[in-house]
Amino acid sequence: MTDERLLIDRAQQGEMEAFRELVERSKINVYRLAYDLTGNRHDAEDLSQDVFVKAYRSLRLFRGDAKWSTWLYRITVNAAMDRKKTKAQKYLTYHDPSAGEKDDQELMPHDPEPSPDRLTDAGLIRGNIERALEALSAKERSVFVLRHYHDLSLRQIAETMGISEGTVKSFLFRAIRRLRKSLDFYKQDFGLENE
Amino acid sequence: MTHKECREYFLDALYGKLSPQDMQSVKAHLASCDDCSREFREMEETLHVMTLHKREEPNEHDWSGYWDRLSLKLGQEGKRERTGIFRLIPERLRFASTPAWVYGAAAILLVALGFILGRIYFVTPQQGGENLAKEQGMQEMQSASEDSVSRLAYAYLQRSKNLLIGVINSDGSSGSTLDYSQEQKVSRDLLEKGQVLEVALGENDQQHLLRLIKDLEVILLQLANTEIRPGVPVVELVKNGVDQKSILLKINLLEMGRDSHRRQPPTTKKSS
Repeated sequence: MTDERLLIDRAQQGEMEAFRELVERSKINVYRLAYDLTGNRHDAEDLSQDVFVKAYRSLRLFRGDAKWSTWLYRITVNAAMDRKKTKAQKYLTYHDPSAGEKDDQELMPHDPEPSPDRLTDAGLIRGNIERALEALSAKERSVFVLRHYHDLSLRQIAETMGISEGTVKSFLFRAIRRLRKSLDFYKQDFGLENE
Repeated sequence: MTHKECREYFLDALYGKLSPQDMQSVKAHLASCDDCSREFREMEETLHVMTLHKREEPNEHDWSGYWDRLSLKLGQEGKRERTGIFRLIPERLRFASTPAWVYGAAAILLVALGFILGRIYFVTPQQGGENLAKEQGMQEMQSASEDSVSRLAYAYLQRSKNLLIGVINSDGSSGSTLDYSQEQKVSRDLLEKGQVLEVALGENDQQHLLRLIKDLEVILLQLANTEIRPGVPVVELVKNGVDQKSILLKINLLEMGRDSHRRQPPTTKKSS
């Protein structure tokens, strides 16, 4: 039995110290995925904490069929999708009640006040990439982020998201096409316009 | 290779997952097709640009407070578990996400239950007034019935008293046979009416009048059934009966009591 499995068993029996150790080991990866899915530090920390609260609530249901990290990733992706849905609903309520049938990537408001580092080149590039990611649907973004920033295979992504590999491929292809379309507008910023 | 087939290989080609033969076929198609070639190049560029993505990592200070903030949330979670209705929920169901409609249905059920209990155990002031009025009506009806029986009873007593006084005051001492046929007839009539009155007084629980009428019945029965012939002391029989039972005294007392009751000022029932 692995060290991680022992910790999980102890945490399942209600030992808070064991759960704390699991959190300490997983928090960086969960935070990073949360950041990639939300695009800012504040939301990332908030989301990562929600993930651990949900993990604690569901700890008894964890049977070890999947890896602990895969299980946490699944919770993170689902929590991020729920959060995006809630945000989109709030945005609809306050801004455009008639836009109910639009795809959610068109509904997210862009940050009207760029932070100071967005005025630098690095900040500008980061801002453009973030806007391109924001333009994706929650599932497209999740698939792209897991593949490119967390190096999960298509099979692992399928397992994490509970979908088929074919569907993962389809989301990924659409994501890259959409990103290309979004980044086309910022080609000048990336120095790609004259290529 | 068609355009569609070629594009289906794009992802695997980008991630280096194609077999050498398939990769050769894709390359051959891209070399001969400007559209597919441009699309593949743009996808490569896009993925390259996306590698420039950088995260803002939390610093040591941020991480140091991470567990404290989390344990606070977990503490609230635990508190929620330990208190209130959550204690009653089986553990295996405790973390299941309860749909919102369940809470709604429970709330409606509680309101309905409250309404039903309210209807059963409480009455509105209007309903209370109606019930009070009904009760008063019943009492008045009962009271009217009692008054009516009492009136009949007093009339009965008065008639009996007159009869008995008349017999007692008759001159039976002379030894001559008097004709008491009329008194006997009245006596039988009173006996018949007395039986009806006894039932009514029994129903109205007017025991005092009932006892008196039963005492009278004995004397009236003697009078009605006595064979009137010379030498039979009719007056003495009646007089003895009246004396033994103190009938006339009792009748007089009852009448006095009723008269004094009538002279009292009427009580205001409405105020009750």
